[in-house]
Amino acid sequence: MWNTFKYTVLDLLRMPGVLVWALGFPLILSTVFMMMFGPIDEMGNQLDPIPVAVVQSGETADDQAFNAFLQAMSKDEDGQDALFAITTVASPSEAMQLIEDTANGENPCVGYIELIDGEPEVHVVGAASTGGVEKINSAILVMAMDTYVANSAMIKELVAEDPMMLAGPAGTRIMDSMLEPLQATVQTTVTPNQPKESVRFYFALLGMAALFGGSLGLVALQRMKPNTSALGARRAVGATPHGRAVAATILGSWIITFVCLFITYLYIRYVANVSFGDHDFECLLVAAFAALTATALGSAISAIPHVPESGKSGILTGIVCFASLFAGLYGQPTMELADMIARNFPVVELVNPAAQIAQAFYSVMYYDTPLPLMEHLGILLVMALILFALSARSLKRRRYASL
Amino acid sequence: MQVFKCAMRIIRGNIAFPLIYIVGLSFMGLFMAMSFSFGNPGGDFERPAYDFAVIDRDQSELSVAVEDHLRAEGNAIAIEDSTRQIQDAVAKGQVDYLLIIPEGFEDAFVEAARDGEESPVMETVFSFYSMEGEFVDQGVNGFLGMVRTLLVAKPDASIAQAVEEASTFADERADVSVVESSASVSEADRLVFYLQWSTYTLFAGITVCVGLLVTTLGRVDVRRRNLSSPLSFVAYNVQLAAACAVVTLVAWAWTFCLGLVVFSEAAAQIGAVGLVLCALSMLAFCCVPLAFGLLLGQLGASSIVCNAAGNIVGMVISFFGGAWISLDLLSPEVATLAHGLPGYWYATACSIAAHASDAAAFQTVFGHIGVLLLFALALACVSLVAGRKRLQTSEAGGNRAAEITVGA
Repeated sequence: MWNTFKYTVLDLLRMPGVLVWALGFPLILSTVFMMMFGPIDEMGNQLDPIPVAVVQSGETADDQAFNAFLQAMSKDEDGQDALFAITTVASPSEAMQLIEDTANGENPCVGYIELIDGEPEVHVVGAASTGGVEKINSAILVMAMDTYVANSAMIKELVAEDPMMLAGPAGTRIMDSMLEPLQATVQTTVTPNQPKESVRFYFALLGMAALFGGSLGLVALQRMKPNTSALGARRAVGATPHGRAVAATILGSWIITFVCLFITYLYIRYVANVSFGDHDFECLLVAAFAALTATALGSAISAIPHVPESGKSGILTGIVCFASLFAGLYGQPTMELADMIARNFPVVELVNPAAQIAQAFYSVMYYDTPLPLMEHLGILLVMALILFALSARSLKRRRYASL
Repeated sequence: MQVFKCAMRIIRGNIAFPLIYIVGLSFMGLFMAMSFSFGNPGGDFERPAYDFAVIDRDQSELSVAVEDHLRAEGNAIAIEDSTRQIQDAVAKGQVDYLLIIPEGFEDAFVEAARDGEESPVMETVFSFYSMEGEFVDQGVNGFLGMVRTLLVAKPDASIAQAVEEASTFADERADVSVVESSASVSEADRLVFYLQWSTYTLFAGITVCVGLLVTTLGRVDVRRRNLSSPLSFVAYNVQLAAACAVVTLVAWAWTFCLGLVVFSEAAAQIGAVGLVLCALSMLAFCCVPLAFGLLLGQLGASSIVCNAAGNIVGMVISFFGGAWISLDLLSPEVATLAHGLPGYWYATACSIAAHASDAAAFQTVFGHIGVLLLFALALACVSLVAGRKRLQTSEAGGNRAAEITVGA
């Protein structure tokens, strides 16, 4: 059994094609993710003011109040961290020209505002991509204007009720109360680590990397079949009991998949600088279960009859690609899609091994109790058992009329 | 036509690859393109509605009003007041924003407002998308700011009155309309997104199929038999090239036609000329994996290596083409690097072609198609050199083998 294990490991390690899948692929994709998310994470920390055009208004009291509001929004006390970068234009057509001129730039103008009869009319530009940044910039502009309209209505009502309300010290207090931004909330965290958007993609990547490790199990078990290669035929007539040979082959594939996943984990942790919150042991546990599920997946696919090995490899790739889609791997839009599907059809997430692996990593990071982690590991174990059960018939010793 | 027929039989024998990559994964692109929102042709602006949850430990007029205010602007998600449920909601992204209103908040708020002191605070938790959380938080503070102003302005008013009035004023909204710029996404971009996402499926699919075909026919013994057959070398290569071209054309036609059929509205918006340019761009792009598959085949890559290389390079090319994330959001270095890969030229060509309105745009698209063909040509040249070199190796039975035989 030891020899079978040893030579399975050596055989797999000497197959560059298989190692490219199990190790090269996740390392390359991690590097791509580093390039992708580094600037986005930095962008989240320092948001640029939102460029807005404002059509020059008159000199009425409403106009002055609106201008004062805009000034407060476009400059804080230090003159920094402004919410809006305002460009004053003479007319709506000039505003549209500005929008067009900046449309393909780094910081496109999100719209323009025109004060008509004391009420701001907001014209926001249709989104230029499916990403969320532009939508939220437009939403912030609209929310600011909604706030202005609501406060304006309130102050007009107060003045209508009592024209002297804003006079004297009481009036000053009211104005101070209205102009001074209220901070009645404080951001806190209920999880041991603050959820971070980019980290989710690395979790999904680990899910994909683990499942691609299934190609090791697929190839190793395929090599055992007497009717697929001369080596398989020799092994079939060898002295080692078939059960032991199968166990050693599965063990060998599992260990290499685990080691490849562990190297990917180390790369993500130390090179991509993704924090896993000092939960190395738990992460290793997840990697071990993920590797087992992946080996079982490879084993189940190798059991499909009448399909050549290359076809089985294609089937594995197809399954992994689809599973990774629903784990949200392919960029922010797919992550939102995966979230939506998980919310509305939880069963899709339950049967998706890539999502379960990603969720297991979440559990390590975001829960202060081991229970959620155990749940996901349990699901992965059940998946592995089902997949091994599906391949049981193919793993049994079989007789052939001729080899 | 024997070689061509044999090549088609090889493809049929490995039908799993074209079925999975070209047919199966193209549905992945369809599914994604169908799920996203592309523009708002109606001209109405839809205020974003984010998912929120409130853990109300105060159960007061004010806390209920805050929750009602949030409900008017977002989607309420019921969360139990337990650590596990709260962690679940945040960790799984069930809510964008979670507000915990502490017991006694209303009393402390009213007192602080009337005394002109700092407001008591509520705890908030943002999930993965912190910008969304920040956005909702601004709304909560804005609403409470109005309640505070009303409490200051009307010292005799009860909190219930202040809350009711604040809610009425908060219902006042600015007039908003949507204006379109040349960069705004429209329904046409749904098809463009699908075409851009297809970089991955096309690249992986064509590379794997062509690589597998060339590798299978390039095996030493097969090649020796073919070379000793009465078929001329040129005829053999022409038939092999025809088989590779058929695989490429089928992949191209399937992917493009599927997009046209499913996104017919988008196709109608783009128009015939734009569609022809998009189709030509895709065809030019398909030549790149064709050449890459040829290279892998000439190098004698196994099916697993072809599969892995097609996938990895396909993903990298689609990423650098901006299919995963807009290149505008990436660092300038990465965006510059993207110019060195075909995905960028293809994605840009499709985008320009779909919105082309003048001769200059058409010229740009043809320029991009030219660049794609140059990529393909460069790879094809490398593959021919690699094939030539391999032919001379002892393993392939070339000159080195002859030398070994003579030496022996």
